[in-house]
Amino acid sequence: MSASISKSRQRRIAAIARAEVDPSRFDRFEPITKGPVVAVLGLCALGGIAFFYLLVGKTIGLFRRK
Amino acid sequence: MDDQPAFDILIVGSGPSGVHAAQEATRQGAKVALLDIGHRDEHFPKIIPPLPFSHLRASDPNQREYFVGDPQDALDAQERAGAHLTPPRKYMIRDMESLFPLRTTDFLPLQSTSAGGLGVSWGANVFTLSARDLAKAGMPSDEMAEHYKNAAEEVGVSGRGDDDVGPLISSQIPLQPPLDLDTNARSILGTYEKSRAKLNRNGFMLGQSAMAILSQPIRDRRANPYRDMDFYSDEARSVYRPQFTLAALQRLENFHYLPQRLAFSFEETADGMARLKYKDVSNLTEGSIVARRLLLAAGAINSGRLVLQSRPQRGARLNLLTNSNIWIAAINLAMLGREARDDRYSLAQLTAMILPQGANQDYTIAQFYSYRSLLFFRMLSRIPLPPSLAVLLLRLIATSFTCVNVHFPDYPSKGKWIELGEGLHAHYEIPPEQQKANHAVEKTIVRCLRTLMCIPMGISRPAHGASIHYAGTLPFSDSDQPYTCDATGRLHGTRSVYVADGSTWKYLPAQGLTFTLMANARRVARQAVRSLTQ
Repeated sequence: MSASISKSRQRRIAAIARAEVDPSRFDRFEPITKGPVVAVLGLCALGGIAFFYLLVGKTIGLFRRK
Repeated sequence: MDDQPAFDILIVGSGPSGVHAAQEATRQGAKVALLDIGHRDEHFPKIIPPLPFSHLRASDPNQREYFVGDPQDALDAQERAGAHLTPPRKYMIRDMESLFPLRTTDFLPLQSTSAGGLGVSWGANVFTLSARDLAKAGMPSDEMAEHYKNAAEEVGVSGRGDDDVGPLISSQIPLQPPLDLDTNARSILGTYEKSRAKLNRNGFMLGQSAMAILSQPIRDRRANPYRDMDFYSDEARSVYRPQFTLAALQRLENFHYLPQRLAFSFEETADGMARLKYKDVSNLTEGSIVARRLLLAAGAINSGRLVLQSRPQRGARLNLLTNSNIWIAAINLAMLGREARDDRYSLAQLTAMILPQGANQDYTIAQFYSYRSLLFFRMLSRIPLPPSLAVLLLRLIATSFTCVNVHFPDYPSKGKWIELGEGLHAHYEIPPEQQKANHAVEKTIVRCLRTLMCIPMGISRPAHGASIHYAGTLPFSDSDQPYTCDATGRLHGTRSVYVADGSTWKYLPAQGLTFTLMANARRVARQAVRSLTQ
């Protein structure tokens, strides 16, 4: 991983890894299963965000190695 | 130096090949010794409570130590060897770099230093090879049938054997009832039933994986407790590990376990015995052992290294085989927003065999995992979103998230080798025509996944060697060439040295090799014992 993504992103992922195994934050990592409609809508929204993020991110060089 | 043999059979390596060779040799009445580095882990079994994954996640304050360890280490290990190398399994490669140095820039194998070898993190998929595949790899199918059966009795295999992937497991293998599939796998199998004709036309067959996981107890092992902790613990000893066989062997009078020894070369004495030289890794002293027969079962890379160090020839290069593998992350649309049952086992649920028309006649194998107990953080580096948004996405798709691990067959070619220079040097490069063939099959698999309503979101391509399947360094050969073996596994040019691991395979099928390694090691061990009286 260290070769392909930035140090700051690595630090953020490591912080999430620590949070994910903290029992007091257990609920924040549980699956969301409130019915297919909510899931599909959420997925569409996230897909849109991902597309936008990639478009903008690539333009401003957000994924460049640091 | 004393040339009197201390043992009939001396085995190097305690992985799947080594322990099964040892078991067969002891059953034949031979006095057997097995030598390895033998690292063990006493720590994690004490700190992982015997509770379900979901319960531990919600309540255990110590879970970070066994689920994550150092997050950076966890992510680096994943890049190298997939997600199987969790903190409790990492002892398997402790001191690997110093004990088995390897110079390479394009091949990243794992070499085990533990009791149980690479079998410590075996994915437990069981395949038997067809007569055609066995012949292509160099093994006689008529002899293998009995050894497959004996290996199955030791390991314990559960599965169906009567579904569309039935050809991947011999009907002669005694099978326990199949394990319960998880919700996601049941959903995928349901979709498959509806689209079977179309998928089969594309050469895509899907069914339940045969697994070395117990659905019924045998001996001191229990049925799988469906706690989804199989990546982290050997609770109930339900998933087979070679160290279970090693522990049973240690109770026999005609078996001697010699840990903490690194074999570095062998020679034959004037009267045809084998003398193995080793270094004691606890005090760095050197020693040697004489045995009537030496069986190399240190894995394809290290058995190759041992032979090159013992019988060096200028410019000698050994072939090297490894299954290329990719991971396809997919969303099973039929499961979106649906809840999944909590009780499940963690390893592969379904297996697909793919043989597209017009392709070569060797299967490609895909295994379906439902992603849960490996946690979200391992996926974050692969999702091009801010990590917190990626977590939200993963929570939304958690129950439908499917990881498909695809293995391609491998063949010897000029750009795949190991050689001895200043240390061992490895190079691995797939020829363009093989790459093209793999790519064509990959496209077929992606198309079939869509038919299964599993929408591929991304493909990860680990480094060569990350499949942890290695073979081909000392292949079977009818001619008496150096660095090859005869059909019994005897190294050409020697009287007393046999190779009992995957080094001898001339071809590496996509079907996981581990179970066939066990059966072939038993076959070679029997041949070696027989040779004592000839």
